[in-house]
Amino acid sequence: MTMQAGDFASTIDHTYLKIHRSDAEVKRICFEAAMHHFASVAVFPIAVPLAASMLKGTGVEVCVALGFHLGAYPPELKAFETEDAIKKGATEVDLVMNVAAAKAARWDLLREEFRLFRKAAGDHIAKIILETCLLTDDEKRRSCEIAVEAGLDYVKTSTGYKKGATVPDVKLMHDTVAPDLKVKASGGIRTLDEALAMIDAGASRLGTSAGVALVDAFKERLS
Amino acid sequence: MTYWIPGRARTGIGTRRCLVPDFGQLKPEELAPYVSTSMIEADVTEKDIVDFVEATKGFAFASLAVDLLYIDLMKKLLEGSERRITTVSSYPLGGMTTDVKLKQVAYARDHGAYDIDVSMNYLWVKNGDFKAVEQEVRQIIGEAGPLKVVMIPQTAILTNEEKKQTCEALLKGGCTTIKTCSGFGWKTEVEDVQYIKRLFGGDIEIEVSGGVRTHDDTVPMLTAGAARLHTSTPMQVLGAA
Repeated sequence: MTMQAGDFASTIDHTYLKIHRSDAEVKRICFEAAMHHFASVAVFPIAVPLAASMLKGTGVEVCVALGFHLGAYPPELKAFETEDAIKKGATEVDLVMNVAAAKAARWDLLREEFRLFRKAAGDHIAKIILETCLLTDDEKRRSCEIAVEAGLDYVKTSTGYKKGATVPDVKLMHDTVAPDLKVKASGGIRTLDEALAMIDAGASRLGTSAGVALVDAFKERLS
Repeated sequence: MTYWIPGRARTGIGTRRCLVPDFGQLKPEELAPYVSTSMIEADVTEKDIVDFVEATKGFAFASLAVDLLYIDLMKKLLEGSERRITTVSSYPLGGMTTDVKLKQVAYARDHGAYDIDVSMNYLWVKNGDFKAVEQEVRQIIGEAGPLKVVMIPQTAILTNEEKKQTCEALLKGGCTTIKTCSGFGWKTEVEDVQYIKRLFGGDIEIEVSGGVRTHDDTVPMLTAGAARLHTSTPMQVLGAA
């Protein structure tokens, strides 16, 4: 294992996308993310202003989950949602793509959506979520190619509200988009072995709510 | 098939008797006007929507619910019919900002939806900030114009006290119809309907969603006072499968 604990921690988007808790929970994960030097905290748009104020000066990015979790509305509304989140303090944007467009091979719709998303995100890191569990390998590949064309920053496997990331999916996505784009694996990553397998398969970021336990397990294994 | 049962209405004149049908005895076609049926999922394609409209033609459902993406197509498919289109905002997780909700509501209004089910900002509810809840719903209703606004408190994640305060805030903000849950794993209990009915009587119209999948799920909800049920399995709910 050549990776250092700090490198490992910096792959983690510390994710809080549960809907039944209050500001106190948002604050807790911001503290944890700052303490462990995670890449970002991933929250819903309504928690962005609080997360942004908590994370000021910590170097931890404010990542926002957009289009959650069905992604079934027109691209102009998604573009508006992206701009709105950035205005309110988000520094990275993760958007659920129009999955149905891929299912129906309406690549024109996907192209338009990704183009508007890139434009709305500006210089911020833009990640498009494929929801891979709903797609065939061919649909995943085509969606990734369109993400490359649109100049997005990441392709991301899952919302976490359905089946999560798999190693073969991360490999397929990495093979399709590298070196132009990076891959974020998310959904169901609970153990250190799962996390390291995702990184091995080509993931640069891990979206997980188990970040603290994963970093602890990583340090334990190093020692 | 109706019979008289005692019901309490908040009219200020105490207990009075209301006419309530014996829902268990209703035929499928009589039950249909109490039921909204939905085709809402991430991978629903245009073809699925066409099939959905075709498959639901036989019954006079209260409405057909689709995501914002498909209002235009629904409008085209339903041209010349009386059927209503329900759509959704900040759905089903309730994580979107007021500004985004207003934009989605305006879109639904301009594209001809009949009503819109809007998920609540759960953070405000959990923080106990009911003033913010009230202000948001007032803004949404202002933006909606003729579009009917139905707020989703997500009763499955709330305490009874939170349910009460949420409904009070919604009423103050001008919203008189709620949809209990969003579905997608969040389930409505008959007790929730009874509780809200007991507190608010006829002031709040209750639509039930989440876990209504069969005819057996349906009758107790309507008997408890639900005005409408939302389901993705309409034929089972009508007992017509």
